Amino acid sequence: MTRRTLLLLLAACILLVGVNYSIFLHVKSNRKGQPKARLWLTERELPMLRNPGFEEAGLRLELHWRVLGHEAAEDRHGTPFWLTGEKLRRLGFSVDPLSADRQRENLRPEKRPVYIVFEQNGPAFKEAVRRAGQLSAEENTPAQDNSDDRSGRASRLAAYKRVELEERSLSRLFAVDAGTHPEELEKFYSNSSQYFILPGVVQVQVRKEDGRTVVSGFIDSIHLSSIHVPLKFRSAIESLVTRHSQSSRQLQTPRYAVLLSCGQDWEPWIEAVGPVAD
Amino acid sequence: MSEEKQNCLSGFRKQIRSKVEAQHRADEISVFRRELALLQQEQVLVLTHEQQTDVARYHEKVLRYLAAVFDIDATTKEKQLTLGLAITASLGTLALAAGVFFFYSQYWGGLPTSTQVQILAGAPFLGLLCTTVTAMIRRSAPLARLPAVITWLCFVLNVFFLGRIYNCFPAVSFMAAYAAFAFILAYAVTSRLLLAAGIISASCFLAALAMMWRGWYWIGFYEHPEHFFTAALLFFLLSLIPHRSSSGFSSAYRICALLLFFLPVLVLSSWGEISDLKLPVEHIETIYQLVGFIGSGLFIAAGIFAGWNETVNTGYVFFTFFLFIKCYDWWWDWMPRYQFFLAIGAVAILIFMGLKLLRYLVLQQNHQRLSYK
Repeated sequence: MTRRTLLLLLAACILLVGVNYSIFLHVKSNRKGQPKARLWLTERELPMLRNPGFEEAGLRLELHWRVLGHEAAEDRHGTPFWLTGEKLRRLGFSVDPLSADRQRENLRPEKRPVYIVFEQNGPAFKEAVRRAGQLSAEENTPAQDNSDDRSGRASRLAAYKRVELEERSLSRLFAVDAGTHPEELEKFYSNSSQYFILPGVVQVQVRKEDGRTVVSGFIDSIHLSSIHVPLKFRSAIESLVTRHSQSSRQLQTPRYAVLLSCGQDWEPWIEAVGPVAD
Repeated sequence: MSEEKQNCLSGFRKQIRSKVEAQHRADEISVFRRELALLQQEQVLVLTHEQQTDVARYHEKVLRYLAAVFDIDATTKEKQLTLGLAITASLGTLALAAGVFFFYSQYWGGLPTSTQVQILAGAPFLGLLCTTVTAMIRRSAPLARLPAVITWLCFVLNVFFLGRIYNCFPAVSFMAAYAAFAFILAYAVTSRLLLAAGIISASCFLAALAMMWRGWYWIGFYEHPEHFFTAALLFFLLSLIPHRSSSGFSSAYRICALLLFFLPVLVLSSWGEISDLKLPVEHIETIYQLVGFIGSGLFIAAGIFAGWNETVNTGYVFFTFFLFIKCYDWWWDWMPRYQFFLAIGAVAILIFMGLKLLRYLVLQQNHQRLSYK
């Protein structure tokens, strides 16, 4: 073995030590002190994620979040009502007041890294329940009630089921705001048992609506879509799920709750697991 | 006399620095021996018995030295066996790498976090130790490539799974770490596979950095092919640095640089809408089609001029790609299928004839040069 080879292998060893040390240092600094957020989420917000190809690869919980659109609550691919022109401009997108066609040509579908505020069981969720209830009420107005056709009954049933889903099954976690500086968002959303912040990506979309060009944004992704479950909590979650097994026809109600903490860099970890409080 | 010969050998030792150079020297000796035997048979050159013995003794010494230091193959049989060894080692590397990967994915969930962390952090160190020990044993030094590749894979899994366990947000710096580790190991054990891994990681890192400088999200770097041109230029320049002790690295750098240049050009010549150029899509596609044609032609010419076989071959491959894509654009929609393929065949024959003519002209030029001398 030449001296050069030996030196290079030594450099590789130093690099290995350095990288591992930096990861552990980062984890330690994140978990140091009081967590920035500490909140209970249930199976509604954190269902189990199992990769079918890797059955034994461990358990991760997938973060299920939604957005409140202009008319109703939508899944995470929807357009939040607050992500409009002015907000997009503040997030760094160049949304100039151009004419419709020029705007369509010039606005590239660019993605920008931002910080997204998530709200658990707060005003956004209550608004989603209210809107679902309102829709159900509209479907059950006397005029609609009298309609005897099959589609009318089906839509009334769907509206009723929607209310039930909103109240008992769907995620109560909503993306409610976004910004480029997490410190500013922290000050504004200071309730650490209801709000937490995660970095994510916002993308603009340009679409035609009633002949005019509409520029809006949507949350493309968040940097951490699932959370690792350590072995000690895995058995607790699995036993709770087995004890309250549900058929796929049943309304899926939550069976476990997870205490999630977010550290100094907003990286989360599971602190406790328990049954859902009634 | 013997002192003189010893000096000759020491001078030659300084010239040979890598296994490739040593093998090349051994092959030259073998060719020389065959040619000398033929010349003597034809009575063109007749050496005295003493001269023949001196030459044979010198060559034996050289071959013994090369075999001892560089583990060269002196005969065709040895070469065939070495090829078999290389194929077996490559398959073994792949099998071991797959084994490591499936171990992580199979039993991972059943281990407590502390054990997971110990395995993750310990595995690359163990791999590095194996690499060092294998490299220390003189005759098995080439086998050190196998544990080196496994070590790199363990390192990638180490960083990736630690990030997953501690729910870390993805960071661009990890790609720089993958690249640095691959480059160090590649140069330590002279592995082109690791060099390619390093080049790919470094290219992704540079493209991601370009995204960050523009205020965009870095993970989407692959959606902007133009960001790979910087890496292409960098690695092409690196290929110009002589790599005498790391055989095959210059050509590996050149091939990777050409792929990093031509693949984005190929993509952009068909999908201009993903370009960063603020021009109409049709103009962008035309520009990149021209860049593809002219670029591949220039690289073929540069490769012939500089004697870079891999550059010439890569240039030919991409020139053909661009040509057939263009033919597809022009003819596919309005020609019946059989006519399209006949036209493609005709184009291929025309290119063949053009190259044949070029070869003939080069041969003529060489003959003229030789006759002048």
